[in-house]
Amino acid sequence: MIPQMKAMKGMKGKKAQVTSEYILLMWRMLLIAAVVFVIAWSVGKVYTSKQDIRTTESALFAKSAIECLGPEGVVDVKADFDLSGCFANIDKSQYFISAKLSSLESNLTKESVFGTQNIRTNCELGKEYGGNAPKCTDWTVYVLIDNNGKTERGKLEVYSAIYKLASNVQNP
Amino acid sequence: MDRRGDEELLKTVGYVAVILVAAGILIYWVSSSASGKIVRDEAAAKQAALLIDAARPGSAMFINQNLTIQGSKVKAGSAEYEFFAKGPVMYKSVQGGTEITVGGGEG
Repeated sequence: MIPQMKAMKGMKGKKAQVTSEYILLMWRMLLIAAVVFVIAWSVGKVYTSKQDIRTTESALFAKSAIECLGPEGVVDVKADFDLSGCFANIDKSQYFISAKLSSLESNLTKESVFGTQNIRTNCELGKEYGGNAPKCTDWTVYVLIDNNGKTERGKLEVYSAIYKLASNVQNP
Repeated sequence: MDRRGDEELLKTVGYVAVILVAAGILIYWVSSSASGKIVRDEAAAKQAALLIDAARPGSAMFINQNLTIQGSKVKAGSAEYEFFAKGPVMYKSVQGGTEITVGGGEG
């Protein structure tokens, strides 16, 4: 009987050893898979995210409006102070721009607005609360105003905002 | 023959093979993502759009990418981006890239 019992004990021991090796193997595989997953996830987040160029774009948009309204830094009051003439062919739903001209030497003021007003509102809300908001730029430049032959000093305040969420944000 | 030693060697070789395969897949995926066509096309379309936006009317530029312009959108492969240039923007495919001309300001 004793040799039979010994053989049974030996079999049990071998079975336990196989099970523990199997658990160890699974654990190692799981560890490798976890390391691969963490690296892939962190790298993937960087390389699959979209490049957001709207801050630069809104600055260029403002600059373009300034050059359009006041070429060479001189705003002629006889000419149309109208931003829609500056950006005739663009999708208005994605842009907002406003410009305010005021003379520093007289009461002369002129204003022009182009695009979707909601974009400005959303941009201001985004500054306060964060989230996937439009990007905006606020610029003030000093210009000369040609007021019917009389040259005055003035300032031109331009506010530009770009929406374009789908093409600049990964999960809008 | 040491059977237990053989088993251990086989297991070690197995682990090393699994790690090498996993690392290989990871490196391939990272490098293809970083220099991938989708990333390159998106960057090219957006950079070209910014260049067009920043260009003065009458400027011409050369971009070493194959781009097309349809209406107010610049396209690079599957990626596209809208620009706001006032004047008409023309493009011409030339050897090694694309030549873009931003038209006069009176548009």
